[in-house]
Amino acid sequence: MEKEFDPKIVGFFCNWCTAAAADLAGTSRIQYPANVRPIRVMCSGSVDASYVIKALLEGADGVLIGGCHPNDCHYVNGNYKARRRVALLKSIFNTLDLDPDRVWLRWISASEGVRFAKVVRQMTDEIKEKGPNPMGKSTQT
Amino acid sequence: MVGIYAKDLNPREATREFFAELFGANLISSALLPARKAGLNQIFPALLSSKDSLDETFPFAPVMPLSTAVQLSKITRFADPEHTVAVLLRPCESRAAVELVKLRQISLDNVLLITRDCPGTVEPETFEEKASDTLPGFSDFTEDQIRPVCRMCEHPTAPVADINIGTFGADGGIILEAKTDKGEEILKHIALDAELSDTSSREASLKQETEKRTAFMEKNLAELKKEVAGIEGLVKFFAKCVDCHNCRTMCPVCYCNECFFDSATFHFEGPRYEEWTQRRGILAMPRDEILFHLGRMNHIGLSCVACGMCEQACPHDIRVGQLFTLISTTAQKELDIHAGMSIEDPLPLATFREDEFTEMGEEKV
Repeated sequence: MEKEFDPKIVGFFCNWCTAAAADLAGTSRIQYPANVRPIRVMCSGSVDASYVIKALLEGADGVLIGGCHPNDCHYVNGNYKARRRVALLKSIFNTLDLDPDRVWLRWISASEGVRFAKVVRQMTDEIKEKGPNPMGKSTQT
Repeated sequence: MVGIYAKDLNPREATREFFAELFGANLISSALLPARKAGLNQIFPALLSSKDSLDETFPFAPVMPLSTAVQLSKITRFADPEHTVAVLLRPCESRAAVELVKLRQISLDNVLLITRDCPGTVEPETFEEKASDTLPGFSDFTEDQIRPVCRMCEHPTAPVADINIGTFGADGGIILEAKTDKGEEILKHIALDAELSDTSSREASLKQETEKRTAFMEKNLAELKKEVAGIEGLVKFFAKCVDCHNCRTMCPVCYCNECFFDSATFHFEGPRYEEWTQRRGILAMPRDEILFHLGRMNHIGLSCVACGMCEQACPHDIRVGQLFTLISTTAQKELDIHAGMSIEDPLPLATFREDEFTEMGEEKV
């Protein structure tokens, strides 16, 4: 039997919200797929597009950026800057016919363990639907 | 104020005359103009201390070896505000300069920004081949010799200037237009042949030129978009890339002293390469050139003025300038952020608006 496609999702999680939400989901024993490889960053605003692109080129099937809700940023406005950068990244991906829907930006506060688990579940399902990321399969990148 | 200047002279001579007058009236202490390099058939920007060397200048030479905006950032560093330098820029150079002002790389305090209309440029090699004792002008070249990015450029005239030197719609001489108070003040000292109260023929000429270029752009970029579609298309497009980063070096808006892509982030140890090779079976070298181009698109896409210096610098003739034009014009339209249009505009990536992309990040689950 062919093995079911098991997507790899690289997560860039803000230290002050989404990373804590992931912790909360864990300590609350909320079940969610183990497809996400979390990387804790100090702010969603510190996630340069290059890291997202690198992850996709190296075989990630999706990238999830988790940041604080608008007006909740620990550094005042990093999440707003992240939002504009993701909008730019998606515009460029769209133009180049690279799949912009493999990059997700979600606001997940430290108290939203349930939302975190739901987002990961939803993203895993949608990426499974899409299949493996062609960007990571190219031997020439 | 808009007026016709030196209507008996051709644009080159009229512009030289205009700069001579600026020097003569002590309105400027130096000028940065395109000039013949060491008597050779190449044109580079040169700083002039007086009107004596104006014969060496070729303000309308249809060639751009580099963007003068970068040179402007060098000469305005800690500049003395008492010494006005007049700089002559073409529209894309002016727009790059605006981006560098926004990035705090140029100070316009002591600069008299003079721009001139631009019909387009050819590659320096093409220019040199055509040159003999006399240097060629725009009309000496056929349309397909003009660089594709120029043929796609929607800015035949510069949006930002103190004074613009207009040739579109000019019937002999040049059309001088003051676009700031500083420019108005200067033009008061210049003897215009006639004030131009009716600018409709100039506007019609600019509109016609812009429409022609837009049509070419739409056609060209639609083809390119098809060609580069998907990762296979992109890999094929950059197949000849040797990761030399010349495109970035010549990019006027790539201003970082140390580029992220040259940083230690990309210095890996041998065993990592071994690991990747084992995992992939084959590992294309050098690594990360697709990442470099995609990363650069994200870093400067909103500041890109589509001057095509990247493409001209590419040793393997990759149409990187056309690709950047494709992604940057699209992104700038979609995000409603337009490069080079005003020095009052905020920096694209260091700022935000609370009311933009409000649906992003919010999806309920």
